[in-house]
Amino acid sequence: MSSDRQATFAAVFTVKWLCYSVRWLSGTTPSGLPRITIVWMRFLVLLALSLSTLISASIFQARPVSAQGPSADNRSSETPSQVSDSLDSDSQDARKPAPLEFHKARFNIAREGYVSLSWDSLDTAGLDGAAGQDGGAIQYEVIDAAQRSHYRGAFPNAFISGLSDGQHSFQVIAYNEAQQVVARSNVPAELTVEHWSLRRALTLFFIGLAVFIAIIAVIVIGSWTSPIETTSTAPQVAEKT
Amino acid sequence: MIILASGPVLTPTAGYWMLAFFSLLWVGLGIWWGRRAKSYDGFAVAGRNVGLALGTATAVATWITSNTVMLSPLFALQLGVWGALAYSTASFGLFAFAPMSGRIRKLMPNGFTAVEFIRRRYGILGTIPFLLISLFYALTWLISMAMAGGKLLNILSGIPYPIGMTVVVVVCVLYTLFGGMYAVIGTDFIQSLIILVGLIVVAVAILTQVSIGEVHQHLQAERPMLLAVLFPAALMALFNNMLFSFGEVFHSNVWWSRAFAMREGVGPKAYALGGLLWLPVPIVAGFLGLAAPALGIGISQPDTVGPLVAATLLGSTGALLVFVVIFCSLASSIDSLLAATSDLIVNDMVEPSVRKFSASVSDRDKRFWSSVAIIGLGLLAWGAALPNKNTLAEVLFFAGPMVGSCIWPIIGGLYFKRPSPIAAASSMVLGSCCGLVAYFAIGWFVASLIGAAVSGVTFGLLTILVPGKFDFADLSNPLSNHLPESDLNTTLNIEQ
Repeated sequence: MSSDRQATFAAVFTVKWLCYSVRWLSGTTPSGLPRITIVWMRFLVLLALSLSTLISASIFQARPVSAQGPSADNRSSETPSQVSDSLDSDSQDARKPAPLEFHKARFNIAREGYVSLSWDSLDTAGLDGAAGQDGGAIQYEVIDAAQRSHYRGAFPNAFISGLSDGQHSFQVIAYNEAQQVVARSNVPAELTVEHWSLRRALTLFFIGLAVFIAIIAVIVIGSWTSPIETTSTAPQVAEKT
Repeated sequence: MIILASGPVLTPTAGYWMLAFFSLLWVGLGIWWGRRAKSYDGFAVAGRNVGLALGTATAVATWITSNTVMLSPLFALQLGVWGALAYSTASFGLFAFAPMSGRIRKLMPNGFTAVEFIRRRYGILGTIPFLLISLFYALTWLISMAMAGGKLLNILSGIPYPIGMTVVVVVCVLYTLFGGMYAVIGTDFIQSLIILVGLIVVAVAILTQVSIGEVHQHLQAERPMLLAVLFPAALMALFNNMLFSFGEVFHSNVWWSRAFAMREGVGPKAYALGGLLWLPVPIVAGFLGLAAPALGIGISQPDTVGPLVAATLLGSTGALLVFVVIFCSLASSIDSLLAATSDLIVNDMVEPSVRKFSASVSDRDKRFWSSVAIIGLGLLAWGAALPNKNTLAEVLFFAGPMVGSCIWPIIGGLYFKRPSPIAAASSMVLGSCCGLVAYFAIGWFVASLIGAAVSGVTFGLLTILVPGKFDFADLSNPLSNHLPESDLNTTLNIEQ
């Protein structure tokens, strides 16, 4: 059975079961038990059945699925520095990597330790065969000055976060399916991270705590001290303030 | 094994089938439940007889929005573990509203909207800023939900953004139109079951494939600040997010209309239970965001990493489940917004205007205006969301300081007689302005906090300096809501 048919069958079955469950949940109450008890009992049974069915399905089905892009079982074991070294040697299939350019290479001071990098995507047709004989998909990798990888994927943008205080520099490298470098950035993206001062952060934290406590206090005190009076039947005009 | 997220994990065909299937289901249920809405009371507040199970389910379903699955991983990736916890503090809004909902139900047994409360409590002076803030928040939330719907369906299944967004909006408009609050709450019940079961399955499946120790190790090596206890921005964001949620829940007619719809005594329990059920959801979603780097999944757009990680790791069935969960979470919020905002428009804008020219307004007229409002809101949301400008979604964050400034007028007005219209109006205006200044000067993660703090100080000072003396009986008096023009002028003159 094709996957689409499987999906349709599963959906129809699920909906029928849901409709039955809704009717069953809101059915008539057997004698002797409060309605709310019956509803909650049925709800819990339904939840347990749903959970067991779906867990069974997911255990059977759950397997990593690579999206339409290639899986990277054969990720290059070479570090980027080794890759760039290999570029220096004139192998028969290696071409000089085309330059990649970040849309923005200089950033204002990042106070929260994150940055979004983007660059032009490569048109494989424009690489004159550097993408490989089959002209396969391009994978990008963003590395920092210490050659640590911060992003690897097919999209020409990367979100990098959790950076500590200091200067950070990033390069982007493009690989073809054969893990050959086909392009890299000439100009690194540079960023200075300077987190907000802890003093300011803690001040605002405690202001927030005070406001929160005040709100809860108003609700609690108001509930205790402002009982609801009986409704007056005569129309009244608001008094002068 | 490194899994590269480079495209949709569900085929468009499967996506279209699921979309069609659930669309027909929700619209069908809307028509079926709509038969019970025989009066405007039935249409707007489900006959004021909703019980605990449905009340809890609607609270959970409405509060689980696309933002919950998109923004909590974003918070976690930006602000670390504190970020996920900060997002989960939004459940405190429901906890705090629980006792308030009981009081609202008792004080206004025939009420419909939050603006009606403000109008009765503070008059025109308090109503204008509050109505503006309410409409701004409701419309930006609605538009951001519509945009999120199109975006998520596109990312998960490749369905083109305009089609996915249009289907989501049209389906929600249709079943809200046919069934009113009965359809909204009824579908919320089913949607909450699907969402909660789906999230449990996703959480269990992820934990079987991802080692928490490995995630911790990876984060420590490559993104150390995400684990820092004293992460400055995260510390600032914690109470900011909580106060944003207080403002959202306290002021929004989405929650007030539910308080009016629930049977007396049910509201406090339903909201408390709803908050409890909602609390772990952003923590699970946030964990997905933090696990992505450890799994080697490249993060391009952090707001889509949660659904993408779940769908990529769980295979075809998991992808279907994520698709359905997201569709349900979107529908459950959009329908609530449509219903609540149309109530606000009919009850607080159209009806008072029509009453100046006509002595009575029939239920039939109100149903008609509600229908027009729902369709109009749907068209507005669709038109604004169609260009898919990200900046529109970011506008929702401007609402943070505005809704934060509404906290004090609401709770002060609900519990105490002294707060006056001047205190309410001034606190809303000053709080909003100062909060917006903080938004641009410092960042989004302090705007609501500053707005609420300034509003609170202003409200407190003016309540002491310019006290009022309100009679709570006016909240339930049917005549005081629709004063004849001569009395209305007298009231205004006295208040000024």
